[in-house]
Amino acid sequence: MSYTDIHFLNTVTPGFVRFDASPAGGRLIFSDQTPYAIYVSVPANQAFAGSPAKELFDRLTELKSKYSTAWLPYSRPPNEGAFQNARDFVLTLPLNRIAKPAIHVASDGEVNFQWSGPDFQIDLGFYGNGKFSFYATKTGCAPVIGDEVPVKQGIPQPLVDFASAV
Amino acid sequence: MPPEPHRDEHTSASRWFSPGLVQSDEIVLRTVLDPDHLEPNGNLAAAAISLEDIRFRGWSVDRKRFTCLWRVRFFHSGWKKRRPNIRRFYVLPLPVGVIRQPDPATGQQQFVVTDAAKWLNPAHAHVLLSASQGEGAARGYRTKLLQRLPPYVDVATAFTPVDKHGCVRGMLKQFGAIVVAAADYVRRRLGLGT
Repeated sequence: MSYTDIHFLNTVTPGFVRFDASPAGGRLIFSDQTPYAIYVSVPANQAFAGSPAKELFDRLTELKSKYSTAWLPYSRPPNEGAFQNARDFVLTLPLNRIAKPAIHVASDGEVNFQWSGPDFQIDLGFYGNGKFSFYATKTGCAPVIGDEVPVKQGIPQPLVDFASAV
Repeated sequence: MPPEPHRDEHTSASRWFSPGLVQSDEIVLRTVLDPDHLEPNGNLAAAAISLEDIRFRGWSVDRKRFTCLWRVRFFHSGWKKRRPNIRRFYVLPLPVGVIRQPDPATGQQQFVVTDAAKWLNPAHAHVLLSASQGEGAARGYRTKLLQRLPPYVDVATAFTPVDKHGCVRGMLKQFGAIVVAAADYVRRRLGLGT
C-alpha cells in the first residue's frame, strides 16, 4: 500500500508558527517574525497517514466539496474563510490528549466542531472572520463561554481540560 | 446585525395567514436529514440547529395540528431532488411545552415558539431564543435544547390516522384568518374602528 506525502504550509503571520504531529507525540513551534512561507514535507508512513489531524483535514475537504452550494432553502454554504479558520484551528489541537471533534456544517454557513463525552459537551464554530465562539460544559464545573476568540490563539485551555481523557 | 425577530408568543408574526397562536400542548415537527444532521453514532449533531436560526431568523418547524403526512413528504421529495445524496428523512416530534420549559437554574424561559404562518403553509412556526444572545451564549442554549429533544422518528410514525385532516384544518383556519384580517383592514381604512 502506498501513502501520499503530507505537506504543511504555515500561514505567514507575525507571531508563532506551529506544526503538530500529535500521534507521534511531536510538536514544533517557531517563534519568529518571518515574512516567508515555510513548507514542511513529511514522508508518508502508515502511522502518520492515519493521524487524527489528517482525518480532520480530510473531513474538512469532504465538507467543502459537499457544501459548495446552498443545499436547502434559505441555507448558505460556509465561505472559504470558515474552512481556512477550521484548518488553522485543527493545527492547534493537542490530539494526543483529546479526542477528535465531530465536524459538521450548519445551514447558516458555520463550520462546527463538537465534542461529546459522557460528562462534557463542547460546541465551537467558525464563520470565516478569523474568530470563533464556543460553549463548553462539564459535570461539576461551571460552563465556559467564549466569543470572538482569534483563531490564532488556538483552543482555550479549559476546553482541553474538559475534553482531556487524563 | 439582522433585524430583531418577532419573539412575542402572544401575537402572531403573520396575522393575515395565522391559524392561531401556538399552544403549549401542541407538537411541532422539524425535519432531520441523514447524513447532514447526524453524528456517525446516530445522535443529532449540534449543527442541525443553526445559530442564526435560533438567534435571528427563526428555526422553522411545522405545527402537526395543521399539516399532514403527504404534505411533509411532498416537501421532502422536493429537497431530495435538489440534494440527491440525502439518505433518509426523519422528523423530530417536539412538544411545544418542552421547548418552552424554563431553565431550572434561572427560572427564565430560554426559547419561544411563535406562529409564523405562510401563505399556503399555515403550519409554519418558529423556534427562537426568548431574548437576544451572543454567539457563545446561544451555543449554550442550543446544547441545552438538544439535550431536551425527543428522539427523531420516521416521518410516517409521526402521524396517526386522526392527523390526516391537518392540512385541510390549517387551510380552513388560514382562509378564516384572511377574511377576518381583510375585514379588519377595511374597517380601519373606513375609520370604523376595530
